[in-house]
Amino acid sequence: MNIWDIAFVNPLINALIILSNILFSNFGLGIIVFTLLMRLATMPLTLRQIHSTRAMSMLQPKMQEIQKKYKDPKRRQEETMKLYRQAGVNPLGCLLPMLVQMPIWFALYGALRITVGGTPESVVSLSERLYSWGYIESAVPLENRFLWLDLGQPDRSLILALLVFASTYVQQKLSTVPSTDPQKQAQAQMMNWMMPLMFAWFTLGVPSGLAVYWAMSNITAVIMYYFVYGPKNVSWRTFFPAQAPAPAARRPAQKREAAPEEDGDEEPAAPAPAKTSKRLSDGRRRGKRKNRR
Amino acid sequence: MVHNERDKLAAVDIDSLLVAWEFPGRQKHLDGSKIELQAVYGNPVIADDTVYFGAYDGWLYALDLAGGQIKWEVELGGHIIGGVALADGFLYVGSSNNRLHALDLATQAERWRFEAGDDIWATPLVEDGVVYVAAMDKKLYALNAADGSEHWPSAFSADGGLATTPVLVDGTLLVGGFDRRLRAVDAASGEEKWSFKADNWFWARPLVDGDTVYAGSLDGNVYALGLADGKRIWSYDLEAPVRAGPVMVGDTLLVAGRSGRVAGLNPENGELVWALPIEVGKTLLADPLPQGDVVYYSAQGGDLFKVMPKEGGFVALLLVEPGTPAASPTATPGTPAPGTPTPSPTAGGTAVPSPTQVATP
Repeated sequence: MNIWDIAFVNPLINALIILSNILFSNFGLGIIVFTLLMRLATMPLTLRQIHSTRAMSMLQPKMQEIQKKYKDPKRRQEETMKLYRQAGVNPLGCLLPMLVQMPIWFALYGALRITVGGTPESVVSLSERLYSWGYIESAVPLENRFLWLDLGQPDRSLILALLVFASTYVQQKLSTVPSTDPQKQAQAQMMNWMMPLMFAWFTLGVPSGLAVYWAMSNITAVIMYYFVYGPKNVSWRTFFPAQAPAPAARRPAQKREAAPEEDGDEEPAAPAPAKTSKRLSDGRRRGKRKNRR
Repeated sequence: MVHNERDKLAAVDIDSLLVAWEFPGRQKHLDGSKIELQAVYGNPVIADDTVYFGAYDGWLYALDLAGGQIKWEVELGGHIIGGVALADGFLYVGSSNNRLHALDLATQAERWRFEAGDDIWATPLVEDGVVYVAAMDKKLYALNAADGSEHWPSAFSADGGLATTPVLVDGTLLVGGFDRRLRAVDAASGEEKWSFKADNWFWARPLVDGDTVYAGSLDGNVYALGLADGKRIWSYDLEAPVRAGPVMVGDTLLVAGRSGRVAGLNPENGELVWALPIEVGKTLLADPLPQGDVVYYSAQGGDLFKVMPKEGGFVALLLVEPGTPAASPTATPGTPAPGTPTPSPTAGGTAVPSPTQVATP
C-alpha cells in the first residue's frame, strides 16, 4: 500500500464507515453527511476560490480593454498586473484553493470507490484498509440500499443521472468566469454542457454511491454560493443557455472605468478578425462616437 | 467440470478443455426477459444431471448438465453470493435480503424461509437434519431442516460478520469471521469451545486434517491450529490476503494468496516443500478444486490453472470455445519448470474480474 493510501484514502474510508455507523448504519446517509462535512471543512478554501473567481469575472471587461489596447505583450502584462493590484485581486486566488482541495477530493473519491463496491472482492480490498477497531469492522458489509438505490450498482432509473447533470450544470455555470472574448465564451458554453453530460454518462456506469457524492457535492457548492452572494446574484435566468454571459447593460460602465487607463503612447491593437455580430455593432458605435468628438 | 467467470457459467471437459456450453449464452429468463448474471460467486452444485447455482442477479438457476438449458429458475430478491447446499431433496441458499430459503427440488416450492438480521453470504452446511448458516449479523444459526426452527436455544454470536461456510468435524463447527477470529463452536449446544485471533478477517473455508485445522486469513497468513484447543502450531506468510481455502493433496498442503502465489507446504511444520512458491500472475480468491493429484484454480477474470503439487509446477489452461477449429491448442500453453516463479497467463475467458469458483464435476 502506498503512502497516499495510508495518509489520505484509508483515514477517509474509516471516517466514512464510522459516520455511517453513527447514522443508523445507513451508508447513503453516511455519504451525504460526509460530503457535507468535507465541504464544510474545505469551506474557507472554497469561499476564497469563489471570491477570486467573482473578482476576476468583474475585471474581465477591463482586461478585454487592455488586450485590445496594447500590442506589446510586456506592456500588456504590466497593465494587467497593475489592474490586479488596483482591484486587490490575486490571479492565483482562483487556482490555489482549487489545487489545495484537489487532493482531498481525489482521496475522497478513492475512498468512496473502494467502500461503495459491496461485492465480495471489493470487501476483500476493504479489509486491508480498515483500522483494527471492532466498531469499524462490525459495520462490514455496509448497508448498500438507500432510497431506491443499490449504492454498489449503477442507477438504471436515470433519476440520479439527471440529478448529476442538473447539479453539475448549475455549479459549472456559477463557477465559470464570464468572458467578453467570444472565443472563450464559446468554449465556456461548450464546457457548461460537456461536463454535465460527461458526468451524467459516468453516472450510468459507476456505483450509484459515487453519483450520490457527485450530486451532493455540486448541490452543496451551489447552496454555498447562494448564501455567500445572495439571491440577487444567483438568478435562475443565469442558468439558461439563451442568456448572454456578459450583459450588454454593463458595457458602458466598463468602458468608462477603462478610460483612464488609456495610454496615448501605445497604438491600439487591430481588432480581432473573428467577432460576433454583437461585438461588431459595439465597435461601430464606438467609432461613431469618436468621429462625433 | 463447471467453471464460472464473472458473468457466465461454462461446462468444460476436463481432459480436452472443450467448452461444452456457456450460460446464459443466448438464453433468456423463462418469461422472455434478458439474463444478466452480473457475477457468480458461489460454488455450483451438480446432482441428478442438473447444475444448481445462485447468481449476483438474485436468481437461483437449475440447468440441464448436458446442454446448459434452464430447467427452472427462482428469483430470490437479493444478491446471491454464497453457494447452494443440497440435502434430502431440498436446496438451501442464502441471499443478501437476509434470508435463507429452503426449496423443494421436486416442486421448486419454498418449504420455509429463515430471516437473519443481515445478509447471508456464506454457503449453508447441512448435516444430520440441521442447517448451519453463518450471517453478516455476526451470528451462526443452527436450524432444523424440517421446518426452519432454531435448533439451539439461541444463535451463536461473534463480534463481526460471518461470511465463511462452516465446517463440521467431530461435533465441532469451525467458522471464521470479520472480527479476525476463527471460532470452534460445539455443534450440539452452540457454545464456543475456543477462538483464535489473527491480524485480519477469516473468510477462507478452513480445512481439517487429522487433529489440525488449516485456515487462511486476510492478513496473508495460513495458520495451522490444534483442533482441540485452537493453539497455533505454525503459520506461513503468503504476503497477500488469503481467501481461497487450503486443500490437501497427498501429503502436500496447497495454499494460495490473492496475489496469485501458490505454495505447497508440509502440513506438519508449514515449510515449503517446493524450491519456490508458484506465481500464476492472476488474482486468486476462489476455492480450488482438487482432482486426483492435481488442483484446479480459477482466477479472477476467468483464467484457469492446473497446479501439480508433486512437481511444484503449474499449467495455464486454454479453454477451447465451441466451434474452434480442431487445430487450436487444447491445453497447456506453457508449463513452467517446477517452482519457477514466472506467471503464464493465457486466455480462458473474459477480462472481467471476479472471485469465481471451480465446482465439483
